[in-house]
Amino acid sequence: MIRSISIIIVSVASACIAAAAPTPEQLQMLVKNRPELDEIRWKDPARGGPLKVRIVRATTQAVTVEKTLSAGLVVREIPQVDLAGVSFSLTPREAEWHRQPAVAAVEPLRVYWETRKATLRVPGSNVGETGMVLAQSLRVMGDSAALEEAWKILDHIREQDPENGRVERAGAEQVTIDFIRSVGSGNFVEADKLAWSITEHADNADAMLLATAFLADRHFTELKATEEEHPRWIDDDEVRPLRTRLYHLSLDFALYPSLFLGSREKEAAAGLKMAAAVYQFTGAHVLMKSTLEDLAMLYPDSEAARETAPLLARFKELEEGAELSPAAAEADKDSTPETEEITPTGPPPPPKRYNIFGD
Amino acid sequence: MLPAVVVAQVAVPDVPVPAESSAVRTAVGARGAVELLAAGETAFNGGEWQKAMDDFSEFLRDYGGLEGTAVAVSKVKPLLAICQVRMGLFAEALPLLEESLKQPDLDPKQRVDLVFFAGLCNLRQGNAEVARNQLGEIFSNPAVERGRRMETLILGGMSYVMEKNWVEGITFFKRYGDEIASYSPEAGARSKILLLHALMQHQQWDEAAGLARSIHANLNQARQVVTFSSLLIELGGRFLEDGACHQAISLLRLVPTAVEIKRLQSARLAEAERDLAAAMAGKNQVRISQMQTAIGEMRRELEAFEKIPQFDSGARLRLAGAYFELERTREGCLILDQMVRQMEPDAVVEAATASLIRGWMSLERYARAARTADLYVERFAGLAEKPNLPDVLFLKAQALEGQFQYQAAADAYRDVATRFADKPIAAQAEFMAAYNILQLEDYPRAGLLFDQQLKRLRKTDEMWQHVIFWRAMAFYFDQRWEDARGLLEEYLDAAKDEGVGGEYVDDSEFRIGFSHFSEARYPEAIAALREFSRVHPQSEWLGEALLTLGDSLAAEGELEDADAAYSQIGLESPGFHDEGWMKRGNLFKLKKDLPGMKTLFAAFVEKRPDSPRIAEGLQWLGWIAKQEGDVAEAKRIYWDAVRRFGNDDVRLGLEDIFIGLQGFYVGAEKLELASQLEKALVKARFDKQLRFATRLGWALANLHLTDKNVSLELRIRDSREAFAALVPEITPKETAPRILADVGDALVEKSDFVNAVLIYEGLRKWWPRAPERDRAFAGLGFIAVREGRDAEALASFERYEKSALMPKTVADARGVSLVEGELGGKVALAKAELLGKRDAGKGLDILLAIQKAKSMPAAIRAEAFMHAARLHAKGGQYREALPYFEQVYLLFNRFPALVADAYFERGEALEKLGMPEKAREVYSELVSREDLASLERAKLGAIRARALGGVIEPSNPEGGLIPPVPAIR
Repeated sequence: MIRSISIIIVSVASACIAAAAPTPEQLQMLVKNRPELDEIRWKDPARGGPLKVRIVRATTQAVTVEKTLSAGLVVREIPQVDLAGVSFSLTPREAEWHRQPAVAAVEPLRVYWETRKATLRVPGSNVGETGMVLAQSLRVMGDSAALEEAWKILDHIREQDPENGRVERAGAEQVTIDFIRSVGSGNFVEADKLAWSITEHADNADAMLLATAFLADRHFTELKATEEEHPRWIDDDEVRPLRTRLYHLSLDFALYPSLFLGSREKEAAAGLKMAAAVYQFTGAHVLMKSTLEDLAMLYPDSEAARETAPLLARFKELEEGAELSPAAAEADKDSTPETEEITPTGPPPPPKRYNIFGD
Repeated sequence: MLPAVVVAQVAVPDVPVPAESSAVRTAVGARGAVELLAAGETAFNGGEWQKAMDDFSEFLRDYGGLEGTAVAVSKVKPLLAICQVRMGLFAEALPLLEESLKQPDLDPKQRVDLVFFAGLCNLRQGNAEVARNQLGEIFSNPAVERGRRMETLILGGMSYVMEKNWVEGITFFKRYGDEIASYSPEAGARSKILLLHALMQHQQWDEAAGLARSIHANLNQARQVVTFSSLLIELGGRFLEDGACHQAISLLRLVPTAVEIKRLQSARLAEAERDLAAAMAGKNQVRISQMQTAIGEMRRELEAFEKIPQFDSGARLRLAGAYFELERTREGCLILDQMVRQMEPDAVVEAATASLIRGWMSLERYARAARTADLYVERFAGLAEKPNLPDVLFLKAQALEGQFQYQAAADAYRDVATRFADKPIAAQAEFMAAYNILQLEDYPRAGLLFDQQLKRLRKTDEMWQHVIFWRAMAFYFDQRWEDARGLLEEYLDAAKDEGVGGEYVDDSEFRIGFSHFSEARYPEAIAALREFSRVHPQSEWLGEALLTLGDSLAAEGELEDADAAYSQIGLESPGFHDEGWMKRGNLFKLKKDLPGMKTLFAAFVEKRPDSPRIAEGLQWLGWIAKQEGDVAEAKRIYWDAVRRFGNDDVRLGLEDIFIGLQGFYVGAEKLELASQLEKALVKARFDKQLRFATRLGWALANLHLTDKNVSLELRIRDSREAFAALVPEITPKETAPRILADVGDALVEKSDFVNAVLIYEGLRKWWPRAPERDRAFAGLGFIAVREGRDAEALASFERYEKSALMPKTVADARGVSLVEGELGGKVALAKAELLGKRDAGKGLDILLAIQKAKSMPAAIRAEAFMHAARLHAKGGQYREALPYFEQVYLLFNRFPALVADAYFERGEALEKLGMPEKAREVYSELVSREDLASLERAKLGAIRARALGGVIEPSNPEGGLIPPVPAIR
């Protein structure tokens, strides 16, 4: 019975955190009320084995821990020089906050980061991971103050974290933030440049998703503008290569998430929706229908699939009634020839620098 | 087949090591026994299982039966059994374990350990039922630590998997999966992977797919990343085999890359190693043992994974295959594109790259295909076997050809032919090389290449027919008719008698007929083409053949037969059909059969109202009426046509009808025509027939130009005003490009640049293939010049030059080539002016090219001299300017204003050079020219001459006229 009550209390507390901005006191309680799951290890073996404690604060000089003994709660300030290592164990709720960047996770993660970041260089400390997820969650939040805060956290990780892998990830995350800032500033020339540079380093998945979505949209917008400006582009030798390039790149960028980062469902589904829109705009109705079918089959629960379901149903009906126009069938060949000039080749770029969109 | 991880989990069990053996303390008796027990204990506690096993075995062998060792033996036997288990000697361990378990005073904790090991051994020995009972005993014992109980639970489930009892295994893991996961997410993930394996073995594919997705969602909790990824590929491949492509894609897209797998697995390994270090620091033997087992498993997984070099290729190929199966070529190609560039070059990637090039070719993305072929060459250079290399190089050549890069394509084809001379593809490549040279219209070179190949081919070779036919065509295009006929006939004979392919038979027969016609060998042409039309009624060449037959018959005076031949041309060749109709009209004309001619063209107008030659048909009808003296009838015919077609959509030839009207109104009748056009215009506007109104307005503007009653200047002005007045009712999309260009030009003349740009842009936008498009670019350039936008002007002029239909002059030594004609000349002059601002040399290069271009109108050439002179003068190069000024008044007397300018400015240049007497002579010559007397420059010349000492009277040597009589006064 008692256990049940505890669970209810914890659930209510979590719900409060998710629903409204908690007070500083409430957030401090997060730390104070944690179970004694953290571990400290002594440099001097004579002081004993690893000790399960609750770490409530850390500075560059010392770590403040709490431990419940038979005599009651004991609080100690342990100099960092005495420690061989620390590690922070996560409760299921905390693990959940660490699993996926989310706005709701910002406040609690910020508390953990602030109270633990001084242990970043202590062996075994996993606070760097907390910092990473916090920075990502702040990036999801998206406002300029949040981005600035994220940038500083990432700077801190890059300067202090002894784990090279995380330092690299922090750098990649800064590229992502840089790109978001660039788009937000409305400086599309700079954003274009950054987006293209991101596509040359396809290993930064978050940035790739943002950059490909941005470039798909930019190219599709330009495609529409070009067709508006040159309605008879197909007869225009000057415009046709440009229009063809825009058509292919719009689709290549839009399809990228579903093809290469298919488990990122939201972005992959949105990309397929955009590809279908490109096909629809260019009159390739059979390909549009096929792409919408892909969307419905691969990402049935996505918002994009729900939004496009009526369109898919309409075109399925048209297909059943053999009413897809011959003009559309013509466009469905998906074979607008590329006629861009090939520059005399120097050595092709090494694989890592290769850009799949490099027309 | 069990996944490696399952076997590994059983092979190296999760063995808790007793904190400290008490065997030594109870050992008594014989010499050496204590040492053996102590050594065994040390080895045991240090995890040196082989040594411990040896020591304990020796103890039992040497001292086991001796008095006083019974207790020690009872303690040693379980330890030896544990060592054997650790060493994988399950069969040997089992009797010892069973014997030990019978000891009545066994410590309960040790009993749990021994039951666990016995279960493990029975599991390995295939006694699954016994094993499950033993493991179940531990699981049901609430005193046992929860982690141990959960491990036995997983092993219990695994026992079904090892028995291949999939149904029970599935039931077991479904029942206990949540409980295991609630204890540890990692253990939960492990049990889920076992369940996935069981589901797949039991062919419960859909359920397996759902479970795989769920595991993937929490992949960071799993230690068996490699195993799971392999299962994912297998499962996706299974759906692919069954044609369930979307299911396959939904799974295969989840497979991490090899790099990602290594990263994830290494991260798990690092975590486990940290756990182990912590356990060792805390001397937590149970945990140490668990972590050692887990680490061993993961290391083995990683090692096994390293031995699968084509892991990524396999996964990505399957994913691409699924998209290709769905006919999503683009998606498949994009996946392959990334795959072939990022993965180590191997046989799989080599084949995939070749497929990728074919994919890009099928999408007509030639540039990408060519680039991928380059990549193939680069990346697989070091590969011993490159079976697709010939195809790849051939595809590269095709890709270049697809981009109209014929010379590069020819070179690439020749490369294939040379490098793979012993393969069938060589002959095709050699042929294609020559064919691409043919595309460059270099007939002698193409012919030479075909000849070289022909010498090596036998008629039985597949390529022979292609090579001989196109070799003949090289002669044909080069108008070497007899040579062409010789080869075509050789081909036809071979096709008829020697089993050579007949792909070119109809083409060859037509070409033979046409070649006779081209040489005016009409009887031969008639015979050949008659035979052709009889034998090949379905040939694509029939229309042209019948037209040529008609022409040949007409040339022989067989007019009735010619008429019959023209009449046979079907509408499937509309161009030839209409041409035939016009030629039939000519036949009637020759026969002076005006009624017949009238009937013919009336039928044409009736039946072919959409023909671009409708105006020509009407013109003939009007001409006939005129010939018959019935101009009123001719006018009626035209006006009927104007009213009938006047509001039609834009199409070729329609405006000619409106212009054609003028021919029937002579002299003062033009006013009548103007009045009729204006009335029609009012009505068209009232009826909101806007296209008709625009055409009528345009015809009226053109009519102004023909009004001989007013001066040319006035005519031009009136016409310009009339064109400009059309602006409010013009919609570029609905207006013929010819009208748009006229209106745009008029607006420029009126300096109404805003509307002019709108009209030109409309022309460019809606009529990209119109011949008048170049006028739009030129006009936009002139506007930019006037508005001081030099760069834009140059860009527009460049577009003009690219789109101009007029021929271009051959590039001179400086590489300057000009579009011929008045507009081309004006553009060249403007360009010279613009370029000369920054670099006088560049401007002069163009001016020089204009001066030398005989095909340029004289006015343009005169301007070029004048511009050159002024360019020099502007730069202070007065001496260099002098001959150019002089050339103008010596060569271009048709242009008095320009001549007067040239005289005057030459005088000025001489004054600048400090040659006042020479200048005075030039001014005096200007003043003495009667034809220039009225011009302002002549008056200024007189002023300057007087200032320099007075006008010098011209001398008149040998009775000649000085200056020469101007060509036009």
